[in-house]
Amino acid sequence: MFKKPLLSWNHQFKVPHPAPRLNTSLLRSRLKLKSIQSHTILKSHHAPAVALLESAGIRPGGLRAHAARMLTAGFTAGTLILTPPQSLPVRAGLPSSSLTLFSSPSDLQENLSFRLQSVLPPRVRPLNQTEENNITQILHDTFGIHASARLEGNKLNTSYGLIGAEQHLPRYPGDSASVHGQFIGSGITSGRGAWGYFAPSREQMTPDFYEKEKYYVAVQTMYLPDWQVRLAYLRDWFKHRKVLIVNPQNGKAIIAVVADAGPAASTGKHFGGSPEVMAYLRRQDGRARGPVILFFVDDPQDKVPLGPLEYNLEKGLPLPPIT
Amino acid sequence: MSKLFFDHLVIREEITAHLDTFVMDQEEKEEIIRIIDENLHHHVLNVILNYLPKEHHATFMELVIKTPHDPSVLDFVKSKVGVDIEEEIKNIAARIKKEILSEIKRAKVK
Repeated sequence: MFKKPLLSWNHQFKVPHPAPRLNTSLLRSRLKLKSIQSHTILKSHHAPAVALLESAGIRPGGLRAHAARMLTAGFTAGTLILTPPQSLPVRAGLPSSSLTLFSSPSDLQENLSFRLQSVLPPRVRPLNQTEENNITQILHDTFGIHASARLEGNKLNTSYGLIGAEQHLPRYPGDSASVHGQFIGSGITSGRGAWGYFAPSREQMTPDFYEKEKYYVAVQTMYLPDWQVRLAYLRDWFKHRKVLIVNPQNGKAIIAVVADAGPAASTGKHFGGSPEVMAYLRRQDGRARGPVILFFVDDPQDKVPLGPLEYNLEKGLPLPPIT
Repeated sequence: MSKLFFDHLVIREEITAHLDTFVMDQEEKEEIIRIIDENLHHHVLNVILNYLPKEHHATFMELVIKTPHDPSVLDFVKSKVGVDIEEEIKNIAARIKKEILSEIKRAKVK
């Protein structure tokens, strides 16, 4: 005789419910907006007190990072608490570059993001000379690098714009996305980059070429006012030109080269980034685009390596705070 | 995780536990918690400075700079204000937490 099961099918076989997911990009943006608003309120109500905190190199929102730095540096031990090694006025009087000594890349990025957001306009647009100079100074303080919107008389139509995700570029004839190692799902462009293949064949590829494709950007050279007039010169000047791209919202920065032209103005975007560049910058909102700063790197001796930049090149690896 | 002098009044575990119920990268989670933390710090500092007489702002900030973890920072504030500052911090933290939980709910992928 048929016996009715005591439990439902789902109970008997325990079908697991998939864990819920979050639109983290949306959440991050909305929380960041709230944080900026609360910072603005704090600063407008209590400017002198906030200035005192910031003169010691501490952001009001970064109290925990400051507490962590102090613990790391052993500030909490014994009499050091009672006799701080450096008084506030002395520290406040140090050159700004001396204050950019960080205990970790995330600390450096947090500080960079904070400083950039204080000088950038709320929406992307071409920056004026003062804004560009301020950012050049901030980038030098942070990374010990010489980066500017204008280099050797050349500049893009904007240095603060929206970046969108690009595909891999074919590095040599017959190249395919499946041999690019990472981000295979991003695919590969059907045609070559604006400056052609990196090498005539796979055998002629060098580590340098592999790096250049990995960390490349597309910029809108075709819309430069003098592109047609100075085509030969500008084409050579922009080919594999080294640039620094920074996501001002998280302070992540990466060195890349110009290896393609685009995107089209109709997309509303100003720059394109390789899958590796976009993944590092975490510069993808729901529409796979977001604001970045793109400055040329003055590196005539080719000393600045491509890829993520997480330390000060003049001072070495992230350093502990001033003690 | 380093401690701050007001951490016992701002119980963040409710938020982190809620975030733990979602699938997300550890790095993403840490960044979101960092932004939440920033927001809470701004509000807590604002409340304290609202009630603390201006002549004590500089001393308070110096204490925060020197010993951000030390309960004596809060003792100093308590000795200078005429309200139950712990209750005020708890209230603002509860309000911000409610807002944040609402944002998380809004960002849930349906």
